[in-house]
This record gives sequence, C-alpha cells and structure tokens, in this order.
Amino acid sequence: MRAGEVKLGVSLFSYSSVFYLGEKSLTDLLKKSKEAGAEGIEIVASQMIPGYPYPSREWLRSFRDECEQLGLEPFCYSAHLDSGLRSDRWLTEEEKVLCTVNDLRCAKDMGASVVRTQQTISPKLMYEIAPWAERYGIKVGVEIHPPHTLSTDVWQEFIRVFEDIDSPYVGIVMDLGIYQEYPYDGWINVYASHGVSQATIAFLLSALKEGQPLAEVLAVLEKQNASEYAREMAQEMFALYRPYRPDQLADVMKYITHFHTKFYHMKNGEEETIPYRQILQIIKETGFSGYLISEYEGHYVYDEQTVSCFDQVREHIAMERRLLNA
Amino acid sequence: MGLVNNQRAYDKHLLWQGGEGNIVVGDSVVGFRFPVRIPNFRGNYLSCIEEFSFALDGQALDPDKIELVLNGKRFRIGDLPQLFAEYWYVLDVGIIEVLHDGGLQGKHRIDATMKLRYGYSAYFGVCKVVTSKCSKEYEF
Repeated sequence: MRAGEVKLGVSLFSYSSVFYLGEKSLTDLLKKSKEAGAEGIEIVASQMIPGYPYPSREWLRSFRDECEQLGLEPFCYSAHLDSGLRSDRWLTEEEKVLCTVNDLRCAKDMGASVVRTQQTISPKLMYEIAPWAERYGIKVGVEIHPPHTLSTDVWQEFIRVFEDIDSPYVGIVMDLGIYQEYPYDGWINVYASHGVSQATIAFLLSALKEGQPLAEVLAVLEKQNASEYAREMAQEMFALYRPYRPDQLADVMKYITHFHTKFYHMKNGEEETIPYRQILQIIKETGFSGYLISEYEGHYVYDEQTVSCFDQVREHIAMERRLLNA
Repeated sequence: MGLVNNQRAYDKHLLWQGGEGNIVVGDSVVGFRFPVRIPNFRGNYLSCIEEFSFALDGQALDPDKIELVLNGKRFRIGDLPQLFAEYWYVLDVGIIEVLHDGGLQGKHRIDATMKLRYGYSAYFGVCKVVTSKCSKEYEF
C-alpha cells in the first residue's frame, strides 16, 4: 500500500441480521461487499466462522481463496477476547496470550493482515504479543470502542506501551463509535418503547448537547419521579456520547492499524451522529495509509424490512469516497 | 442499568420454529421439545448463559427437567455455567427437551428468558449481562 493510500472495506458484521436468519450465505455477503465498492473485508470470527474458536485450516483457506476469486482482500480476522467467558474466574494472562496466538494462526491461514483484538487483553500483554505478531507477519490491533475514549486510563496505558514497543505489528483499531456525539433514532426509540416520554427524551438530548453534568440530569429526573428506564437512558447516553475531540485522533494516528468506520443510520447519504467530515479530513491531512472498514450497527434495532443493511453499506462507502475526494 | 437490551433485534428469535413436538419413547410420551437460537449477533460459550428459563402456559418449568440438545450432546440447564469449552455457533439451532409425562397436545404458549454474559465487555471491570425474553405459541 502506498503512503497516504486509503482503501475502503466492509465488516461482514454489517450484514448480521440477514446472516443470522439464513437469508444470505457468506458467499452472498462477499459478493454484496464487492458490489458496494469494498476492496477488502473484515470477518468477526465468533460470529461467522464455523468451528470457532478453533476453525479448521481447510475452512480458513477456502474462505481466503473465495475472497481472492472475488477480488476482495481478506483483510482482518476480527477476534473477541472473552476474558469473562468462564463463570468461576477471569481468564489468566497466559490464557489470553494463548487465545491471541490461536487468533494469529487462524488469521495466517485466512490470509489476513490484521487480527482485531480487544482491550480485555491488557496493555502489558502487548509485550508478549508483539514478537508473535512479528513472527507471523500479522498486525494485532486492539480495538478502542465505546464506552472507552482515548482519555480512559487503560487507553493511556496502551498508548504508552505502543510508544515503548515501537513496532508496526501492534497498534489500535480505531472504532469511530468513540466519536459519536448523539444517539441515533433507533436507539432512542428502544427507550421510548419502554415508556420514556418524548418530553424526557428532549430534555436528555438538550442536556447532552449543552454539556450538563450527569449528576444534575439525574437529580432533575429524580424530582420528576422519572422511571428507572429514563434514568438508565440518561446514564447510557452520557456514558456513550460526548463532544468530539479531534486533537487526540491526530496524536495516535501512527498507531492505527485500521478504522472501524462505525455508523448506525445513513439518511440522505449522511451519517448524522458521528462527525465524518472532520474525521476524514484529519485522515487525509495526516497521510494515513490503510483501510476504513465500514461497520453498520443499526441492525441491532432496525428490521431488515425497514432498513436494508446492503443499502446502508453502499451509501456509507459512497459517502466516505465522496469525503475523501473532496 | 441493564434494563434495556439495545441489541434486541435478536430477542424474538430466541424461540425458533421447526422441530417442536413430543418426545416419544416406545409407547410412552415422556415430554416435549422445541427449538431455540442464541439471541445475539454472534455465537457464544455455553458458560456465558447465566440464566435459561422457561414457562409453559404461564407456569415456570422446573430446570431439573430441562435439557439443551446442541453440538450432538445433551446438557442439563444447571450445568451450563461450567461449559466454558462448549461453543454455540450462531447459525445452529438448539433443542430444548422437557420431561413432561404425556407430552403436550394442541396449542401451548412458551415463554423463554436468557441472561447472556458478554465475555468481552469488561470495559470497567464488570461484564455486561443482557436479558432476552421471547414468547411463542407452538402447535404440539
């Protein structure tokens, strides 16, 4: 990849609902990705790969070959690091390393360039992971995801560790969900369906926009004798959404393996809850080389009959291309 | 926190269709069965199922009389928390079998609840546990 070259891809996770219902096969999803304009794909292993967490080499190689035949790069093997998978205890540090080495093995067989792992891996383990990543020739990116931000303690520690290791084989998968400023309609409607009034919703959105402290907002709800659903909505909203901090993004750009260009609902060719225009401008200005992987997450609340995931991905890639070329 | 499932699109699939019926052993009808899916975008370890409970026509079913048939094996509901090496692939349909002398005839309503721990979600030291509920009428 040339310096400053940005490629557009899609996470097959975007098509979760149609996959779950058996309406589309993995082959169908790859073809749809290509039609939408993707150059590469990311696959969530725990979701779509049979035999996970120990899929067969035959399956992985066959998937790699299928991607390549369709002109798609099998760019990222997206792993979950389920540190809480056991009921009796957390995974040990040794078990986390074993999980990640297994993920690297799978990624190698799949022809992927990156393993996406999660912050549950812990910063200090990156010292053990980096040599394995270098040995396999595959990057390990730790995904930063809401409710975390780059200011969260564990992320300050990850960044310090990445500076110290100074290897291109470990870094950050930047999920743009951390820059979401406001909730999307579908998210709001879930709470409305539990009886949170339009007046309360309007109050919460206004308070969020004005930067009112959560404690004050909860005090108002208490006085109004608001429901526990309204209080939960306030807590979730203030934990997940916040004003955009573009300065921090530029600071960590050199550690970013790729972006999850998260989105929830494309309307008239735009995603309204994340400041894409400003973020893509920084991506261009800093000369970032790599993938923007479109990740549609509206399927959590929208039915496919109401909002088509295929239309959403196509619109999103088109928006990215337009903004990158602007 | 945790009252609302923001990933609720999958809840309605917890009780699936196809394969419901009675369990017949020889000449005896010893129980009934119905199909279930994991109500999430991804598969999961059975140990992450913190609760999997059912009601028949509004009456809670005894967990000691329920088994989950999955991956070619049978698991007691009470044993699920220990099964950290058993994975439920998201496209696989599980079968719930209930010991119930004489089985069921005609239409009956099943209510299901699953509390699922997201093992990757310990952003601040605690895993998120999401409750999914689903009701469905089956013809037995």
